[in-house]
Amino acid sequence: MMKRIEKILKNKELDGYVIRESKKEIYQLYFVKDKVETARSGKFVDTFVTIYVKHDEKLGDATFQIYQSSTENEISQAIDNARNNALSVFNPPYDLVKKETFAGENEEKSLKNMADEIANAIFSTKANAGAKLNATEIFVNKIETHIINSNGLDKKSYAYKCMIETIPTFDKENESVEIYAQTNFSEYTKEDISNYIAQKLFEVEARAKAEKIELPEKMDVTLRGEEIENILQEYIQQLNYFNLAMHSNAINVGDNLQNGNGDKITLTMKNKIVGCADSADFDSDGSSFKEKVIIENGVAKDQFGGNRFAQYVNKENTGALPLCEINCGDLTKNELENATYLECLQFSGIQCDFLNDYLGGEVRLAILHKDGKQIPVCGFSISGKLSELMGEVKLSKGREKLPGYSGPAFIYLKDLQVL
Amino acid sequence: MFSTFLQENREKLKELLSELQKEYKYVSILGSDVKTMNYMANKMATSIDEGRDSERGFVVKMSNGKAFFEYSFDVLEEDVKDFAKKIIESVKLQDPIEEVNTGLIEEEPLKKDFVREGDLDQFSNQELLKKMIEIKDATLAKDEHIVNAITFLMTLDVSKLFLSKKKELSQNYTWVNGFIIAYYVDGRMVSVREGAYSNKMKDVLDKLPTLVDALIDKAKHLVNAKPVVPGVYDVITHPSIAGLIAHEAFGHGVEMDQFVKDRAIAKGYINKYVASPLVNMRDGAASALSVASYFFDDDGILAHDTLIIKDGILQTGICDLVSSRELGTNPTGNGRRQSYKNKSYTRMTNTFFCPGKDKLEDMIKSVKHGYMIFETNNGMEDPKNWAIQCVAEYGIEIVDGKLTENYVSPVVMSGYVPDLLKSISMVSDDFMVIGAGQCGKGYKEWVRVSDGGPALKARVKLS
Repeated sequence: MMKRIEKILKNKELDGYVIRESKKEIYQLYFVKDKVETARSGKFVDTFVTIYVKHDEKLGDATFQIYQSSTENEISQAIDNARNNALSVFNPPYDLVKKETFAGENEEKSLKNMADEIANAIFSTKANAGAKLNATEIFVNKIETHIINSNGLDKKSYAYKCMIETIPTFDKENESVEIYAQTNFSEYTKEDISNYIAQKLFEVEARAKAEKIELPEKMDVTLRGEEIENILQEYIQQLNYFNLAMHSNAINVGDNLQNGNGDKITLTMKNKIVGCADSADFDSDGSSFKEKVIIENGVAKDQFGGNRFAQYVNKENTGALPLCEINCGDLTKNELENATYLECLQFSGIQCDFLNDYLGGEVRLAILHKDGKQIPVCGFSISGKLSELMGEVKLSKGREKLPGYSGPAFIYLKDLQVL
Repeated sequence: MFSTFLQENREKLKELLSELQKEYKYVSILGSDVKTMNYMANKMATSIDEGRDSERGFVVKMSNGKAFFEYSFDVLEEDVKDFAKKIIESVKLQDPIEEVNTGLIEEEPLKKDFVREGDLDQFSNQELLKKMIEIKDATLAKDEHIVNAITFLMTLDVSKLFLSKKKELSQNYTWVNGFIIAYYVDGRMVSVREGAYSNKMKDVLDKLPTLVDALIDKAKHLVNAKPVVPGVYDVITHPSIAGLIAHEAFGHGVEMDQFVKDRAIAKGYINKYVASPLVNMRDGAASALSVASYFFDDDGILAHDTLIIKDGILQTGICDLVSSRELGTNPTGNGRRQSYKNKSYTRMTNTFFCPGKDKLEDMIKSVKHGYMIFETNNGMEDPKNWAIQCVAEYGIEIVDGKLTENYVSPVVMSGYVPDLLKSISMVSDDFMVIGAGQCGKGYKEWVRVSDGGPALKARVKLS
């Protein structure tokens, strides 16, 4: 299809084009308890074309979709319509990514085999009496990404992306509780999956035992990787070329983001980290990546971003780097043995707002560590000023990897308001 | 206008249906042709682009009374017999895994074509972009503290074709969402937004310019906003937040695919008080005219108007076709897919509390100290344990029955669903449904939804 589109594009009055194609093969299993309710498979292709027209010393562009079912006439008509649209668009000019080629390795695997392996690993995990998985969804996708442009760029990569969504549940005498669990990964072992499920079964049992108890007005808390990544995304957005070009960035290079005595954060944007499923070979423009340290020792050091906005702000094109990595600290769980704090394990959704200097959310499950005891607790909210909390943050020694994050397995924050 | 692509494939799809029916007792095919366009202007750039939600493809759904099997595809292959064999082979379970028993689907015969006229064809792309540029420029010219303004139009043109043994349905409808966003700096930066929503482009284009002054006034207040002091307060919710409560507190809790999985505590509360007797709540594609108003769902079930809570008593849930088979109930037209590439689940449509009898000014007057809270940011459901978190963009402090100039932001409202709903003591007589929402199932499967209602007075925890 890309060749067909390109042939037609070459016969039009255009100053450039990019074709992005994503071919997907899917296989999915949906379970109610341990019985299959639905099995799905499919094959489809998404093809987006962006065309560029120079006019009036500006650059016009327009993006449209071409379908596998599109006829030559439809493709030609879609390009003509897009050209008309582009003539109404007056943007500052920029160059498309220069000619480069890349071809990733195409490893053939059976999606059904992968789904079955994952299902077997999930359902063979031992559960304590009362604990079970109420509903489970397994997605296995093969994605082939192919980008070409009018400069001769031609890049192709292949990835297998898997997702498990499961609802661990614990039944007590008169009550049943659940938690929500979702994990995304590219590579796995049976042991990885079993360990993940076992951890979630432990958490739901803890939630079943959790008490709504009177907590002090202010407490220290620990947050895990998922929440840490959420917090970091606020800083990452502020240090993106896009926001800089749009005048919507509230952080400038040189700003001190951590006033206080906490561990200083160094944040590097990357494209590949072993164990991070969002690793990529190139971005949606076809740009190669260049890693960038954007926060160093708590101070905003640099910005990053893709081809177009890099040119708008006159900075180096780093590619739209998909992964964030931060340094670990020295803090271990052993050091916290005598501390009184809340180990937050499940949120309704942590709320982090850099512009309003806010961090908070409703906690569905936490372990209260006090006097050497560990008491599961629930039914409360935490909140605090983001700047003050990050100023005093302590980073764990242990590292956790998520699809888009590599960094401390937990952070320790002081004096959050508890309600 | 109904999709030419779907029309051209109608007969061949019927052939495929016949082939698949040789293997499965129940077979349906949904064809989807959705076109979305985005028109954007800001201080430095403009664009006219096709939206990421555009799609053109098909999904078949099959069952012999146990599990369901689905196949999504975008090209209908020439040799239908051969293609049917490929589909059957592709969905077949490889390992011997036990299946659920759903029983066979009984259908009433129905053949109908539905159209809701829109006005998208009366506006050229160039006109729409020009209008966005004008509104952007007008917004920027209003106040020097605005460092950037973004105007945005999103159009949705949906055609769907549903075929099964006894049904042949088609529908076409359109929707338009428009937004103005401003970045305002005075000491610190805030971003504010206003929106207009309609099935008619003209309505949105008329409404957007009238929202600029309110947008700037909001920004001026929000640059001075402080976080709320955590506590339990009397709160008046703007209809957008009432809608968020309806959606998160009870909408998700009565999605009956959750009943199948024993994931919803609401299952045990049918015909019981779950809210104040002042509370009435509805959901349905036929309940209101908004972004989730369609004629039939992705299972080919006609749109419903479902009364979920009547005078505080839970009446029923909402249901997709598969869940209705497993529960032995009737589907309510709530089976929705993110796209032809995704599974159909029970999903909300237009979800709202019904209006009451109180005047908003009387509700505000009745509050000694509390907040009126506005604008949905996000929310999260917990249907099994009835925890709720709703995040509002901002609140205005009420002191001695009067709104003050004191703004708080953001506002996180949380608690236990029955406590919140039973604390509702006043319900306003006005009503608004806001058609700009997106709802996920967990953290995926996004569909467009609306929610809303009247203003509610409740006692809730804010932090």
